[in-house]
Amino acid sequence: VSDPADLSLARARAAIAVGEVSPTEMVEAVLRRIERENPRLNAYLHVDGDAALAAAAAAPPGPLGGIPVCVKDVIDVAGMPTTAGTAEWRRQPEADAPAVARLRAAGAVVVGKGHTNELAYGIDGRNPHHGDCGNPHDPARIAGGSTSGPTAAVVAGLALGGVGTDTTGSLRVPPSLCGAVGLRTGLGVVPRAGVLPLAWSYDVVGPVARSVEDCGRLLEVLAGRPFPRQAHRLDGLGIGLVAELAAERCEPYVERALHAAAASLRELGARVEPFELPVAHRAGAVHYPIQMAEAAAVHGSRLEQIASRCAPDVRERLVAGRLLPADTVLTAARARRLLVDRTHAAMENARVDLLLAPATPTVAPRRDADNVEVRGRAVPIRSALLSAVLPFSQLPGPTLSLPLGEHERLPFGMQLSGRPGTEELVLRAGMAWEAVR
Amino acid sequence: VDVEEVRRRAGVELDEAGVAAVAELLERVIGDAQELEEELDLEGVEPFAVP
Repeated sequence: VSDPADLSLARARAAIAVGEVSPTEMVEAVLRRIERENPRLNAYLHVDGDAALAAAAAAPPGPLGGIPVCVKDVIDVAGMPTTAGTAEWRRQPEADAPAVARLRAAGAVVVGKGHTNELAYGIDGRNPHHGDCGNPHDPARIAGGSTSGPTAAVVAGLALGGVGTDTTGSLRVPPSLCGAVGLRTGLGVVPRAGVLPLAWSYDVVGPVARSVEDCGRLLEVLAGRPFPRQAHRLDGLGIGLVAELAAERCEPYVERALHAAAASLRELGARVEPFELPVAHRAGAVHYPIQMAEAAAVHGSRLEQIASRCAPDVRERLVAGRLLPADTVLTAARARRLLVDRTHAAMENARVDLLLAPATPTVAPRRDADNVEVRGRAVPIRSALLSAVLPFSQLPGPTLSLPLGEHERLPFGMQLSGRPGTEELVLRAGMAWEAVR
Repeated sequence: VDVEEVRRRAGVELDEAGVAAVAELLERVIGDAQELEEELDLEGVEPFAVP
């Protein structure tokens, strides 16, 4: 093993199991990488090397025994501060969030807290208080957010697994821009206690890793149920290709790669057919009133304290959320119900099990840019990065973000989305695609 | 959206640009929801609730 920090989670587990690498050596390798790369990437907001080494020495021999993980800094880890990337707000939890407790019980070693957009209320991985998270492929470009730190960490060898949250696209956009795999789990699949919420009806906790298999191994522990390790054929699987998102909202290289992926999935035995996602063009109108109202309510009485030190764009959305009329929020929530019901009915009618769509319209934009060019138009970065993920954020089932292709040596990803309870199916399809990519 | 009402009810100190930005955001989000209601038949549809 040349450098244990470069191993996949699956390979690292095998190496640890046969004594090729000890948990301590594994964690030492990651700490060395953090020391070298974190000043450049800013993937961690907090690292506790001594605690990680002590945990590695005592790591139980579970399915993640000795695996170093990065936990997004909205999720409680006992003994480490939770700051949510804010300027001043913090709590010092005495207990792990249940999701973290499951990881530790399985032998994982928490190395530190990963970078996030302020309050997880952003999609670009920028942070005015703690600095931006750099993209491992080019630190002059954004990593995407808000699960910026765990994603950059797993890609650059600063952890072998990561845990983050997704409200609007935070476990899908960073993996797309950094070349990782992230899973927006279905609502309720992974416990959310001990996680600072952003918007209750959208928030989920999920894994980020270097491969679909590694993602599945993390999810197995986070969700407490077994998931597949291998998949080769997809015979009989129906996949709906949401081509309109790629044609209208993505650069041509993303559209071409998506159609090539559809062809590969057909060769694996899947039936891939065009699929029109109902109400997709209205996903923003559905999402924003609900998210804004819930985010304002989450912070309730401390909103004034938090908002006074927030970046202007976060403060404005928090204040606007407090002032939104109830009928606006309820109209959006009713439209969300319609969108979900129509999508599931359309999938049923078309005998479609999964939906295939792009994850981001471009590769990672530069950190100093406000806009990104999409099909010749300058689009604000936030709008562009949310355009393909927002429709799937409305759905209660899982959505996997995984590498689709590269453009000018920078990665971009795709999404595979299923109905509630289909995490196993989504991972299986992702693994089959990964094997032939 | 009344800018004065935004200033009065914000509960957070906002400068002029901040008040204007909140008012503009509210106007856009409320307008989009009104269009949503006109475009979709929401009669009898209950709000989405987390399963």
